[in-house]
Formats: sequence, C-alpha cells, structure tokens
Amino acid sequence: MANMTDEPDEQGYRWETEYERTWEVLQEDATGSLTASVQDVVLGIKRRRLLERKPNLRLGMMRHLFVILDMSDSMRDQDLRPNRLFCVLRLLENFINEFFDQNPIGQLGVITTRNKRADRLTELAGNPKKHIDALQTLRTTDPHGETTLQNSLELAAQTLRNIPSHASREIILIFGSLSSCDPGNIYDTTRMLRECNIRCSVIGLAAEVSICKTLAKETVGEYSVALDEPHLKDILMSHIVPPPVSSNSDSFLIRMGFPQQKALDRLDEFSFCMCHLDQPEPKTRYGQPGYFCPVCVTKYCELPVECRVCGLTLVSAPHLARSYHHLFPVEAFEEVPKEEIELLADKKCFGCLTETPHSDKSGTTHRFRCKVCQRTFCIDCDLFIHDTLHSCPGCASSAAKTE
Amino acid sequence: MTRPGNKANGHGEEIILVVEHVKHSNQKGSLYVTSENLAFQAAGKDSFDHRYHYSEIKLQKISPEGKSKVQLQIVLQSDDSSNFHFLNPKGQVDQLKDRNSVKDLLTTLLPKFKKKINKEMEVKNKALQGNLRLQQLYRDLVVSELVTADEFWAQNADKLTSQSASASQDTGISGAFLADVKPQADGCNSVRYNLTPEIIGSIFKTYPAVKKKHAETVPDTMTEQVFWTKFFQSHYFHKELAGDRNSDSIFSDCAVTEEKEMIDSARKGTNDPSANVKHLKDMVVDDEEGFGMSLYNADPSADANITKTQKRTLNMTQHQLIQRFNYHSSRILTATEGRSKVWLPNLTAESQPATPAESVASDVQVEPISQFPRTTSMDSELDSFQKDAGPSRLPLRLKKTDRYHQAPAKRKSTAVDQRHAKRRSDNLKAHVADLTTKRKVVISSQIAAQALHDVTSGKHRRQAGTDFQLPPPLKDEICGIYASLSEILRHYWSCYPPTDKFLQEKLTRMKKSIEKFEMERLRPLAMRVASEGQPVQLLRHIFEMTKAADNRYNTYMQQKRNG
Repeated sequence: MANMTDEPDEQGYRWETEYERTWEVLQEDATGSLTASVQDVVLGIKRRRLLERKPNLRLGMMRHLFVILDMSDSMRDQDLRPNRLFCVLRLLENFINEFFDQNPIGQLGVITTRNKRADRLTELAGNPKKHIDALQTLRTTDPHGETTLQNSLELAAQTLRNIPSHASREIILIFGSLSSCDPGNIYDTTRMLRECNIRCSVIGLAAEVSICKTLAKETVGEYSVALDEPHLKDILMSHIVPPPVSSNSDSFLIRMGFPQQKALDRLDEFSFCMCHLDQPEPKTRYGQPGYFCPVCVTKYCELPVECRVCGLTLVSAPHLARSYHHLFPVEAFEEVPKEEIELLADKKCFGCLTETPHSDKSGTTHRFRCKVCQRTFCIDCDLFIHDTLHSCPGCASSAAKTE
Repeated sequence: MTRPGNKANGHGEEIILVVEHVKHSNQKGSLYVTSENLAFQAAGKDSFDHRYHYSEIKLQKISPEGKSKVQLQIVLQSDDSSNFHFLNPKGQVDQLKDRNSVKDLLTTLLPKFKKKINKEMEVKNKALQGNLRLQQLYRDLVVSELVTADEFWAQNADKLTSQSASASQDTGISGAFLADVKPQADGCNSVRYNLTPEIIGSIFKTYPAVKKKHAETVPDTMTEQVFWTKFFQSHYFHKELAGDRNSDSIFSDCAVTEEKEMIDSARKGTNDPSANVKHLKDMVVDDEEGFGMSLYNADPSADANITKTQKRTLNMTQHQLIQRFNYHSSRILTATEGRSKVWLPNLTAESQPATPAESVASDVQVEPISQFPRTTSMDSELDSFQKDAGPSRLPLRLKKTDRYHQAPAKRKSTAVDQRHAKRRSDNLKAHVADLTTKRKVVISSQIAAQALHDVTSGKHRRQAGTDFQLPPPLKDEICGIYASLSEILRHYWSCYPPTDKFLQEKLTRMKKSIEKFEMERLRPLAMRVASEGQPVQLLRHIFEMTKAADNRYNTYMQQKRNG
C-alpha cells in the first residue's frame, strides 16, 4: 500500500490498480483547474504520433478492411468498463464513422468469433449505417466459448483474396483472449496471408500473445496492447489513416464513374433503385432522386457504390477529394519555444482565440506554429487541424501565393 | 491373378488393380480398376472395350456365396447392368478372392464420386429454395434459355457459398475439453457424466486408440453406455490405474502402448543442440540427509542392497504425471519444429525525405530465419528492444501536385484585354451600387401559387413525402423485371471489352437475349400498363437501360467494321 501512494502517477495496466484512485493522478494548478495536467499526458502521445507521419508516401487508399471481433469468454472481463465487449462495441461505432469519413472510397466488413467458430456479421460494404446497426445487435448476444484465430482469418481471407490487387487488403483483429483454438496449423494461415498481401494488425486487450506478434510481423501489420480505454481509442483511431504501400506494384489506372444526381424534371419518372429492389414495402423507393450509372443507367440511392450491373466504381468528386487529404497532409507544426512566447504579436490562438496560458509546470508552451503562414495555434486546434480538418486555416485565409 | 499396379495412364488416372481371367459379355480378358474408371480389356486387344466411369455406376452386386459362378454385377445410372465373371483357373477360392478384392475397391471408390455430384446439386437446390428472388431469376433466365445454367451459377456463386460457409467449419479442440465434462453427483454413490457429440468427437480426435476400440467393440460386444463407463473408469481419468497391468479393461493395452511411446520419445530427445535433454536426470529431495538432491531411481524393486539415497521417494502417480507432462511438451516441440520457417521482411533503413529521387526499398528482401541452430547473438538481444526501422515505404512521385488541389485550367481562356477589364469592372461596380428592387406586382403571390397548383395535373404533382402508390401486383412484376433484366445486363456488360473469341460470341448471344427479353416481356408489359391507365413513364427507365446497351453494341459493331 505504501508503494502505491508514493507513485501516484504510475499508470500500469488497468487491473493492476486495485481500485481506482483517479483523484491522485490529477493535480490542480495555481488557478484550481485540472485540465492542464490531464491534457499533457494524453495529448503528448497524440502529438508524437502526428510527428511520425511522413508526407510524400504511397498510400493504399482504396481500403478493404475486415474487423474481426473476439466474442469469447474473455470479453466478459470487466477491466474495461462496463465490460470489454461493450467498451469495444462503443469504440468500434466511432471508428466506423471516422473510417468512412476519412476513407470515403474504402469498404469495411465485420466478422465475429465465438464458440470456436467464426461468423460473418456484415459483408464488405461502403455504407456505415449497415455496420453500426449490426454492431447494435451484438450488444444483446453473450460472448461465449473460445476464440479461433485460424477460422476467422481464413474467413476474411476468402473474401479479400478476390479483391483486385490495386486495393489494399487489411484485417484488424481485436483480440481479448490469451489463447486460440484452431483446427490446423496456424502458421500455414499466416503464410497464406502474407502471400496474398493481406495486412493484419492486432489490438490486444489482455496481454501480448506470441502468435499475434508473429502474425503482425509477418504481414507487416501493427500489434498493440491496450492499457486502458483512452489508449484503446487511440490505437483504434491510428488505423484510420491509410497505411503506406509496401509492395512495389505498378500503378494502375482505375476506372471510376461520376454519376450526376438527376435534375428535378425527372422526378415524375418511376425508376427503381438497385439497392432497395428486394426490400418489401414500404422500403422500395421509386420516384425518388438517385444517381444513374453513366454506363448502364442503373439507379442507386447512395454513393460510393460499385455498380452491380457493369462493375464500375461510382463515386462523387468530393469523395475523392477527401481521400487526397492523406496524400498531402498538413505539415506538423513546430512548437514555439518559451523565449519567443513573449515576442508573439498576438497572444491568442488563431483558431479558437483562447489565451496563452501563462504559468506552466510541464515546460511546454502549448503553442504551435505553422511553418508556412506563421500563425500560432493551441494544442486542441493543432490536433483538430491535423486529424479532421486537413488544411491550415492560417494558410487558407492568407492571400494566395503565386506559384 | 491379380497384380496391383501404379502406372500412370497418361490421363492422370492410376491403375489400382488388374484382374485377369475375367469374362465379360462372352469375351475373355482382364479387368482394370483405376482411380477413375472400371475398364475391361478383351484378351489380345490393346484398347479398352468397355469403360465405366465411377459416377455412372449406381450399384454393384455380387453373386451369392454358394453359387458355382463367381460374378460381379454393376448397375449403371441408366439402369443397364454389366456382368463380370471371374474365371481364375486356380479354383473357386481364388476366384472369390479376385472378386472380393474388386468389390472392396469399388466400395471405397464409388462413394467418392457419387458424393461429389450430389453435393453440388444439393447445394444449388438449397440455395434456390431459400431465396425466392433467385428462384424467380433462375426461372426467367435459364428456363427461357436467355442465359445458360453455367453462366447463371457463375454469377451467383456467392449465394451458393454463403450457405455452406458457416455450417462446415472445422473447429479445433479446446485444451480443457475433458475437464468440461463435469460429473454430476446423481443420488448417492453414482456419478453422472454428460457426453455431447462434440465432446465425443474431441475424444476421438485426441485419442485415436479410443476411436479404434470404439469401432471394434460397439455395438458388437458392448453398448455405448458400457463403453463410456469403462472409459471413465480407465486410466484416462485415474492416473493410479496406469501401472496396474492386471486389470482386464479394454483400455489397458492402450495404456501400454502409450507408455511405450512416451519412453521412446524421451529417448529420442530433440535436435536442438542447445537443449541438452538427454543428460537430464530425475532428482528428488534426498530423503536421508533431509536436504539436497539425489538421483531418482524408478525401479520399485525393494532391494535391500540399494542405499537409502536411492530409495524411491516419489510415488508412482507423480512420476507418471511428470512423464505425461514431458511427453506432452515433446509433442509440442516436434509440432513447432516441423513448421515452415518464418519469413520476415528485411527491415531497410527509412529514406530521407530530402532525397526523393532515390528509389527506396525497391525490392523487399526476404530472409529465412531458421529455428535451429540459434546463434548466441539472437539469444542475448531481444528484437523488441531494437530500434524499429519500420517497413519499407515507397515514395510518391507526383509531377504536378496542384492538379490535385484545383480543377484543370481551361485551355481556351477568354482573353480579356486589360483596358476592357478596367472598363468592365467599373461598369459592374456602378451597376451593383445602383441595384434596387424594381418589382411590379402583377398578382399577389398567393393567387399565383394557387393557380400553379391547379394547373399541374394530379399525376405529376409531387408532394413531399408521399410517393405515387403503385398497385402491389404491378409493382412486384416490375421489380421482377428489373431483377431479371439486371442479371442479363450483368452478363452482357461483363463481355466488354471483347478481347477473345469466347467473349465476342457471348456478347452476340447476350445481345440476342436482351432483344428477346424486350420482345417477350417488356412490350407486353408496356401495353398492359397503358391499358390499365398507369403512366407509361413507369417503364421509361427500363427502356433507357436497354437502349444504353444497344448503343454500346452499335458503337462496338461500328468499330469492328472500321478497324
């Protein structure tokens, strides 16, 4: 007991802290506010990750990703509140929304494993709503049985194998147990995955397991073990950025269609859309505006989609433009050193107009400067710009440079 | 005379057995049992007169035991039958032997071929029954010969596999399966074990000896219940009984074989030179001294001359247990030794962003890392502590990046002269400053809206939220037409670009199918729709789809004519 009070900042695994002493970690600063110390710890990690991103790399942007979710007995463990399964489901919903936000031409599918079997929950699709609805149904199913690595990986590989090679094939495995119950040699499966160029990343919830490590290493994926819920969230979000392409395949020209949404004068026509054709009333929509494929004139309600009749990928221009953000990321801002803080023309953050904090324990000045337009931003704006906005407001609002 | 042969026949089939002195349809010759066919070759000829593929053979029959003629009859799918008469000059016993050998082979080979074909049909039937839409498509397209059955199933293969995927998964055996068979105390003195088929399957997989015993004894000698009771009473569950050679349980010889195996594998050791297994000896706490260790002697013979330090202090069960643990570990080691080498990508140094011209990591070198022998450096350095250089990353070579940020500039720019530009901007400024709303009210807005509302007819009036209601039967039919047409169009569009002859031929065929479909289904439907008073625009979209296909075909024909 004495040891624990001596080192209040030691945050090991969640189960190590006997009971939560959340009051010990936070410390008030002079004005009595707690925000600074919490942020320091959390945001420092995020900035480090930002700095690691290098620009000018080839990325695999048409991503086909399978999320394999562990539904074994170990997910009933309560080290993540309220239990591991609920926590993961909650974070996965956020992940799916973010994923389609940042990768609009990507596709996602979900597979679960329980009772030594693997089941396909949703197929590869580009619509986030379908996946989120399916995840909601998982809240009522009980996790039971044992995980099987081999069956779930082979099930995912079955579909991923048939995807053209210019798209990236990925699997994210959320693994909460410490063992796997497989019908055959798991090393054969890892070899098969490597030969098919499928990149497997594993997120462990319990501890580091050797087979997961080998799997991630052989397929050039990432293996991280989550310490607690915010860390798990960070790990999940780090997979949203498209991974760099490692194999030197030739560049492909990909055929895409850009359908226009038809003008209103066609509203009096009744055309059935392919996505709702098989649904019973009242879901079948006819007469509603939709997108018509430029090749075969089939109607679809939403983009992006792959035309079922002619096989053309249909996207809209903003979708592609959103993907470009990853190719040209905003350069990491440099931190304004302490000496220059006083010299700043305006003490306010250019993004949100908050004041520069004056007295600071941790040594960082919390002000970051864009190298191009020389405006300063606070740490929240810095992260927002790099993660979500993908363009610097300072550069955008300054006069256009002649090139 | 029979001789088994292994000659490959050039077609990939192997001759398993050749039986001579066989008479078939009054011809003497030899009977060949191959991996795919049953063939008869008349004496003196080179080729096979009669060949029966196993899939054609429905059944085989043999003549009863007592009869003088030893015969084998095969019944084909078409209900024809052929007789083979075995005429071994050595006598009836040999004839019987010949015939039985052929019969045994056929019993193993026939099921293989039968199952394959039936399984496919079964799966297809199940898929059709499960999915009404698929059934309708099948009827529309295949039955009316618009699309061939093969093409249909090629396109819809995913519906076939989805049925079987989740059902037929092999599962592993969890480590604790025997422990999960929790005994329940049933009344007094008796204990109940619940055995599910899954547990029984796992037991058979783990202990093949038990499976063999089960096959031999049940249901001939004892019932299932008795068998499993004996199993639970045997050494698998009570380790003390292992050494008891006197028990006459059916599992005692299993125990003997297992012990022999364990001792053998312990003697074999492992290939790893760094794991010096053979020199390990069992040590026990020295009984006499009360401290320290001494060698353990498993020999239970109480020899008075043996000094006390060698007295057995470990009792039998512990020894057995440890022996089993070691055996289990050695099995694990052999399994991992046998796996293929781990291939890891060579971690090259990351490129400097300042020199993008250098081609970085052009080839990912793969090195095999063998398990044994391990050098000392690998033992002393953990790779997770080393600086991870990161996987090789390819640079992006973009020539004009601003193309990504802006739309392409128009070539033809309306060249505006400088002085014109000044004048125009001045005009614009003046005009904007001058802007006022100059409206003349003709009629009030309310009356105008009302008039507009009245003038648009009911059918074309689009109110937010309410769709025009189609009567359900018509709607269903239109949906069906959409589905069938999309299927045909899918086959059609998959032919472009028609690179080889097969695709070209398919293209013309599909075009004809589309025209046929239009004739047979669409035009009558259009007439019916018109006669029922529904707007003809209902089908405009469908006709547009067919028209698009038509246009493409015309361009293609034109290209062919020109090029």
